[in-house]
Amino acid sequence: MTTHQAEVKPIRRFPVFFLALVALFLSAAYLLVFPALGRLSDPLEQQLILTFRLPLLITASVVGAALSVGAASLQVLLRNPLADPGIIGLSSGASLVAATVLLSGVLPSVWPLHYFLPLLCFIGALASGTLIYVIAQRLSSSSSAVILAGIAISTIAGAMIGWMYWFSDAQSLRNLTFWLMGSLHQADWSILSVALPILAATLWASCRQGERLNRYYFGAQFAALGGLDVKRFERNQLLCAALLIGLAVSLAGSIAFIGLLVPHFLRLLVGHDNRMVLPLSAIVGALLMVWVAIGTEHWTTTQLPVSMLTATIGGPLFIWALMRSPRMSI
Amino acid sequence: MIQLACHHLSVPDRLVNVSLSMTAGRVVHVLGENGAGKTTLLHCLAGLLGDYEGDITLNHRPLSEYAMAQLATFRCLHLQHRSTPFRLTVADVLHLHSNTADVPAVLQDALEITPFTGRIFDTLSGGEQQRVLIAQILLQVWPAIERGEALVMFDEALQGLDIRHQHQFHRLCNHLAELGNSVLVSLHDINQSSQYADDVWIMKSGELLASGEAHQVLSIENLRLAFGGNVEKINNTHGGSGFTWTTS
Repeated sequence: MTTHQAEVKPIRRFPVFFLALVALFLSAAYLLVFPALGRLSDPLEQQLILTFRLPLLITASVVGAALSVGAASLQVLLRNPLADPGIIGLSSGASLVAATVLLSGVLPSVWPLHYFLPLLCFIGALASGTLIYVIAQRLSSSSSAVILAGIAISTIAGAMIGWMYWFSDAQSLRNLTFWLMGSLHQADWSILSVALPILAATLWASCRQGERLNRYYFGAQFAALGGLDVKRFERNQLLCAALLIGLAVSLAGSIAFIGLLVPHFLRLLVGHDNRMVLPLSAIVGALLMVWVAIGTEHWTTTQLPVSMLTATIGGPLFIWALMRSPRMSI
Repeated sequence: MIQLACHHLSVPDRLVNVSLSMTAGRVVHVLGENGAGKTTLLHCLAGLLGDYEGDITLNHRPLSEYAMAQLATFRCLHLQHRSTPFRLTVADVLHLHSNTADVPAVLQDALEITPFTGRIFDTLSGGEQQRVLIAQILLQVWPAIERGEALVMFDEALQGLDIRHQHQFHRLCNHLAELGNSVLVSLHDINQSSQYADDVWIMKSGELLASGEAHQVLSIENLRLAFGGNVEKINNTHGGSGFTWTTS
């Protein structure tokens, strides 16, 4: 039987993209960790690399990858290409729970914080994620309503952190800036040792869901007809997204727009096949955050809050994405 | 060959005590006024609705015993109102669901979708989108269709199609049935049913009003009961005849 070959964007291009991006990532990582090669024999420089720049590199990479991959799968799951963990309140939910518990002093100070911080952030992300998911199911006809509900949740969480800011002492102020604006310099080896293995495993599991996620573009009912166990799949995806975003927040606080922009531009570039979009999101997200780390590290004398950078670039791009999206009528 | 039957099938507020059986290799048309229960019946038979009373058996096994993944290899259903907020190309719509975008010649002849495979799905006209979605679900079970072992269901798939593509769609359905597949089509055009259907089921207020061979079921009496008012058969000046509706 003769067939008509449709013009599919060939998956053959995938390895080329992938390798090119990995190369870019490695060179950026090199630039971040070894800015001055001549001084490598200096023990102070070695110490700096080990205790400061290497954790910075790992934090930037996994946070960028986790935010991008989590957002990419949430966007398909919530049927909204403009969903971002920052906009729909997952990041701020995680921040709120962590900031509340830390600043209220509920936790005895002898408890090891690096175990509880990721857990608290995960609980916060899961709570706000579940809330958004329930709203999305109720309002399945309107994908913009999900965004509006998410904005409400993130505004409330942001306001509550803001009130804590108002009433807190000078010591707490710096911490709150972290939860509101993000920073790549808070993470050290002890919290990375807890968060990194979980993040790596969750990233790996999430990136393998591409084929299933592909069946989701026309909604849950149609995915079920295509043979997917929808309830289980949605529960797992939501759990993975909450883990990715919660742990990213525990490492670097709230970081805006990375999750929106990375998958969005990748879909423009390589199409909508999630088998490509998910792993490429991980690489590009990591690459972008390493660049941000280089920027905050070398170009300024004081450490910039990360969200100030990402939101300054991301805000205008978000407006552009809104304008070119025909279906987003709020 | 598919053997599909249901006995005393009821869904609260939707279906009342529907008993039916479907013979393989035939095209069945489901008729009935808006809200008569056609969509609910199709969703039940596709395994999409779990909370019904009564029995549905597929190849002499309860439908509920089948895993969705297993059903998906030989059963497909065209849902009404399907859209995506993403800017998928037509090729994406086809191959992301079934992992193939090769449109078999027989589908291409009937649906004529290859001219716009590179275009954004969202920018197509309503009828063009409908033709792509018809191809999308058929590709899902195409290996089973070629073996004549598929159950193919369309819920008002003719919406938006021009007259040529409506008739090409019916011919495609008849062709699929000739291969041995079971084809179930819900629609609103009685005249097309009398032209193309092997069997007809007529629904009214969630109940099955009549079922059987098309020429027996499509009687003036049944149609008047199903649609209210005065359904009549008219002869046109060229010697053909068809059903029409007038206020009584």
